[in-house]
Amino acid sequence: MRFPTLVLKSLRQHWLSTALAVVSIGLGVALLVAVASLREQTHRNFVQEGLGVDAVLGPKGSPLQITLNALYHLEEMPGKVQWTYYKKVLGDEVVESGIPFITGHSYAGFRVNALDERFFTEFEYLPGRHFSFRPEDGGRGRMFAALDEAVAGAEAARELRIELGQTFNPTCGVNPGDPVHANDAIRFVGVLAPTGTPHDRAIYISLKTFYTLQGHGQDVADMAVNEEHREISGAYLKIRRIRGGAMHPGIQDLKYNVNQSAQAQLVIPNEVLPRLFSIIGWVDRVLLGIALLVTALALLFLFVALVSALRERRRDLALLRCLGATRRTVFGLVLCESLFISTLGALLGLAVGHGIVALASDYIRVETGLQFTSAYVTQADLYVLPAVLVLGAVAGLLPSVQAYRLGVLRNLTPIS
Amino acid sequence: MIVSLHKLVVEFRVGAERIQVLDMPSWSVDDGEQVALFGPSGSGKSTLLNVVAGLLAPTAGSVIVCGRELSRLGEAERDRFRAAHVSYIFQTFNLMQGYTALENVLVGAAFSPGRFHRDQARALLGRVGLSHRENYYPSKLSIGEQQRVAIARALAKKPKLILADEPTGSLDPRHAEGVVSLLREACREHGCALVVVSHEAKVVEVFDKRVDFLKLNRTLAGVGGVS
Repeated sequence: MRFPTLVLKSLRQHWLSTALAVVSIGLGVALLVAVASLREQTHRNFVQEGLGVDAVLGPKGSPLQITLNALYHLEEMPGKVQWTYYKKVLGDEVVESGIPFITGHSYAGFRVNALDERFFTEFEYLPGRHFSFRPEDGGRGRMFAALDEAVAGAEAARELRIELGQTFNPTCGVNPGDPVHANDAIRFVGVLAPTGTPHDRAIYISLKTFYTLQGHGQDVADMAVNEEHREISGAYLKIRRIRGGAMHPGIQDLKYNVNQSAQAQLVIPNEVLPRLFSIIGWVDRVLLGIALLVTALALLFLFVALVSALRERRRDLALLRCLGATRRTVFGLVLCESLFISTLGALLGLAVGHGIVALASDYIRVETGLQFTSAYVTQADLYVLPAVLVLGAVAGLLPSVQAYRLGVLRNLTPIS
Repeated sequence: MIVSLHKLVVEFRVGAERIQVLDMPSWSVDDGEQVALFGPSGSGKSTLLNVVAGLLAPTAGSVIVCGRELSRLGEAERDRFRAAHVSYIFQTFNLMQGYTALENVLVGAAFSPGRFHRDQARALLGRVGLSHRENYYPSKLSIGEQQRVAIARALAKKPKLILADEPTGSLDPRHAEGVVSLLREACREHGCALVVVSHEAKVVEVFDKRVDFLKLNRTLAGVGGVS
């Protein structure tokens, strides 16, 4: 009978406390792993990827509000931007291209955004990635061409079960109870292939369609033909690159000039979104704290389980000593039990943690359009096993020392 | 000679007081010899076995077992020595409770050098008449069966010496006789020496060499035992 068999036999002897210790450590580790993964992936989604937008030209107001509205289809735009001002900014030497858009309409809980059709051909939702209608990519139909045509994002189409040819009447506003454009039936002619971004959760119409909606009246209809009066919610701007792929440094001058004007402001999402994280950062710190607390409690439970198991097994350990096991052997036996339980708990936690991320990522994708994956490996994944092993060794140290100091004769032989 | 003691003294400390338990001028057991030590409870018989097994270090004197001077060995060396050469059978609670009969035999050789296979363990269980009980846990075995498993386990490491401390103390006379004769036969077959401690006359009288512990231990001379 080899040493590992002795460890396993011993664990089987007190299987209930072993199983509980494994499960409780697994739970703590799973929480740690899941929180770390969701936190890092959220950060990556919001900050690193920037959703393909270098800068957003928007009205005066909160830069965060503009970013959330323009990129994530949340909040509302705080005002309008004159078309002529947009054209002026577009003429700046650092601006490569722009895609104007109008927000503020919705349908069945999804935003209906009006925008330039170049959005479907030129806009990069991720570096180098363009929208697709190709069936092999998961898309359907084509981009809008006529005034009564619309395109749906993949998630909006899935949730609303949109079929090509189906019509809808947009709501003038994004809140429940806002009026519906009852006389403006718009037909779906295309569904975008999934992108894994919030762009999947919107419906798109052309700028001209927006201006010519009957419910908007003549003033707005004039904007379709009269550029002097035309207004937009904002525009996605692509900035020229310099060597190394970095944005042209002139963006800061442009930003200063636009922000000094009374007309609009220039928002750089990658500067704004980290602020969002500093605001909500306490949430993941609290979650991380809870996960650490659960793990610490689990290790405390492991310690208690080992100590109580040791009390029950004093005679068995004394017998092993009598059979020739040295003090170091029984010390190692108890310590290995602790390490085995910790390892099993950590592995279980890693599996369950990634399982939680898999479940959560599906929910988050549906709710926000953000792409999460259970295969994402965080630093926590790399450190959790060695860290739990070290802490498991610490938890097992005192019981191991008790086993080491166990008196053989006191626990075995009667005096005769 | 498998056991040779010379001027052995064992004392226990109780607070500041030192209590002498053993004082034996000399005593020996030959290779393959079977010896019964008898005497009243509390006379130090178990202490002697513990010293010979290397579980207890003597206060003074020489203890040579299987050619090794145990009094010069450290505790870990005595453990390894015991693992290789000496088996011990107790009156009760001989078996690991979470182990089956077969596993209890296997664990008997877990710390000794050389390999010991399941088939060998099964053969030993067969030798003590418990082939049909190999997957039974101790709680499902009678006391007599437990003692027979303990005998099989004691033989697992192929020891040169088996020490048995009141091996029949918990058995009725009929089973006691069976266990002792099995133990003696098995030791004879495996060529190992046997020292049995008992205060039961029926157990002691079957041995050719019987030692009155009251005469062997000078601490008890004229006292009639300690408690």
